[in-house]
Amino acid sequence: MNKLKQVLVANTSPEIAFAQADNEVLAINRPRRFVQNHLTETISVAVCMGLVFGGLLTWNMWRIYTSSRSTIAKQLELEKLSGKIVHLDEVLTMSARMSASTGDLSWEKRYNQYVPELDKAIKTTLAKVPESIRMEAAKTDASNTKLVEMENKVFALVQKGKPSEAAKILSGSEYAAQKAIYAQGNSRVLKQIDRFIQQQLADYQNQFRVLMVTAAIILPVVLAVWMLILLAVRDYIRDRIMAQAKLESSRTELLALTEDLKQEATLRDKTEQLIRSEGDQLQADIEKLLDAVSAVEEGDLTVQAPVSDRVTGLVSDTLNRLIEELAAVMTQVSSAAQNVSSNTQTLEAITGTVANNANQQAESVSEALTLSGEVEKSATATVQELQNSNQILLSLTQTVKEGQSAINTLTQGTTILQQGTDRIIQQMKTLGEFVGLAEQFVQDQNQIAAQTQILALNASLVAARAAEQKDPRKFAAAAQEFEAISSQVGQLAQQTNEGLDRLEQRTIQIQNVVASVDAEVQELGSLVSGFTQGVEESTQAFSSVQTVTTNVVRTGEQVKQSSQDIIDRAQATASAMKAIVELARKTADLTLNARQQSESMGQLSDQLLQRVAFFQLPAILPSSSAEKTSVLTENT
Amino acid sequence: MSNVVADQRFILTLIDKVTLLFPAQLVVETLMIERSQILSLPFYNPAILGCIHTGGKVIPLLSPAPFLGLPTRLMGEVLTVIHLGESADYLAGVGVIVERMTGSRMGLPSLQSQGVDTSTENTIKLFDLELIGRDVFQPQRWQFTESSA
Repeated sequence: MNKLKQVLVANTSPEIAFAQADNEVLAINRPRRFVQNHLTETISVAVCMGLVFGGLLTWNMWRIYTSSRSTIAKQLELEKLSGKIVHLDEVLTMSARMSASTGDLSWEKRYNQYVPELDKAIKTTLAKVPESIRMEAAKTDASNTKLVEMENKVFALVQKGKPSEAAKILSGSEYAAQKAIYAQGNSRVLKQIDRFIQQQLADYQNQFRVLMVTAAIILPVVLAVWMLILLAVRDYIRDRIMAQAKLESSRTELLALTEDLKQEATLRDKTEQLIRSEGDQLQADIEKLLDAVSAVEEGDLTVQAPVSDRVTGLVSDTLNRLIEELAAVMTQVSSAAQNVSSNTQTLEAITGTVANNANQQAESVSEALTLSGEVEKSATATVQELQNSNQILLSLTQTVKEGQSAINTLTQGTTILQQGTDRIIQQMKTLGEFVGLAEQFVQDQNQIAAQTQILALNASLVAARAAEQKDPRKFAAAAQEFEAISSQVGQLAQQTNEGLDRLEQRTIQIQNVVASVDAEVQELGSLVSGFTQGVEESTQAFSSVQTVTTNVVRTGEQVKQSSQDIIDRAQATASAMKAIVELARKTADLTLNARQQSESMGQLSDQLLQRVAFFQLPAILPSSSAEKTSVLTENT
Repeated sequence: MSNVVADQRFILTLIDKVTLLFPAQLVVETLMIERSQILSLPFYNPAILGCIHTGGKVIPLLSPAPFLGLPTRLMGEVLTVIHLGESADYLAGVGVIVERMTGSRMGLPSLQSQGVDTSTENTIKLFDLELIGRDVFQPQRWQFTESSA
């Protein structure tokens, strides 16, 4: 599931995610399934692998550990021994030199004391090194022997009391050469030893590295295998637990079912026995019932079936009650039939009376017919009235025509009047224009007058200035101004004359217009008088129309009233006729039905009596028969 | 105002309800001009309506209504102008616009100066140069500068 979630988170398309998840889950589940199916073998293999790899790893590591520890110890010891060798060599050399230089024999004791230690150290060292180094050390051993011989010779000389010769030997070239050879050999040996140890340590390191790499590769594989095993074991345990739980639940269910089945079986046995006994009893009761029913079939209603507390007893009781009821019904039927026959007789009498009633209705119908005749007469009178009113309307129409002609003449007069007024209006407009022109002329004249006034004032001013002027040139200038003013005055006067001429023309035109307007107005006056006369005639015609229409309306009202009366009477007659007809029909139907019913009742009663005679009835008590008859009548 | 000499001539003009009397010696001529002839002069006192070119001369036009305390009215199409002469001092050559001329007469026998003519209920005033201030022809901007200074 975690893998599925990871795949879902990593992918955008859910279908692809699920497909990929499915593939990965399948890829994960395949080895798990394989491990589940081969759990024992897988565990065995994993255990063996684990043991093998673990053992190899442990053994290698232990080997490397011990080897490296011994090598390191050996290295330390060799370093110690090499140091000791150098120290002892120096001690021996210095002992020999001191003995040679001092002649003291105690130095020889010291020398002899440390020689075995040196030998021991050298032997120990050679024992711990390989053959190649030992062979290298053997070269050094020869020079060491020579050195020892020379030093013994020195000690012998010192014992002999020849320290100077001893010193010569120690300081000689041969001793120094041998010393150098010995020193070189020792250093070579020490270097080889050191190299050998380092090489061994490097080998151990490589081995350890290889071991670690192998462990890093093998350990995850082992871990994976153990994880698979763990998951398989967990699944196995879980499946086992689930199977056990299911098994347990099914076992309990099974136990419960078996218990139920056992109980069911015992119950069935008991009911079977009961059913058998009851069946025998029922058979006997049924035989008895059949006897009673056959007796009833033969018409004996006095028989009684045996009653018991069983179902058949109930049936018998019911049968007995049924027989009783049947007997009661039959007695009632016989009494009812007797009553029916008596009732048919009475019905016949009733039909006779109904027939008499029908005769009476026919008489009523004839009376209604006479009434309708009277209505017809009234309608005829109404028609005459209508004819009279029609004549009156015709005369009215004539009158209306006369009025219409008068109105037409009036309309013509008004048209002429309207035309006259239009002409007058036009002429009045023309007059208004003339008046406007006159007004304009007056304004122009006013302006001219104002200009004239100004010119006059200017002239007076110029004159005043001229009177004051003594200089002839200025006087001439004033005179020129006068001239200009006078010319302006002349122009103004000319304008005034022209304006007056125009005014005169306009005035003549206005007079002409006014005369024509006067003539038009006189014509209109005559027209108006004729119009008035026509209006009066129209008024008279309309008043006569009004009286005629009033008469017509009155007549119409009377006709309407009479016709309404006729209608009401006719409706009443019709409704009465309808009711009579309806009654007659109903009566006829009733009589017919009654006759049919009486016939059928007679037949039924005969049949019933024949039928009832078949049954043998018990003796009827008077009180019980009366009660049953009353119950029967109430029910009907 | 002092009494005027009886033999002096005066030109009577009417501005709203004020009869303004012009001494004849101040007046050169009277003109009637059309409004379309006026060339307006901005940046001057609103009493100065502009100037016109007539008879070879340029005449500045002045309305005395603001100085008389009268409300300004719309100009008509034709205006009456009193052209003042050289004796008008700093108003020489100026045209004073009036509504109309009512006439001229000698002296002021029955009218009182700065009085009310009882017959017409018009105020009578004599035209005085002091009525129009000397700085009326100063441009407005210069006046503002001078007042702020």
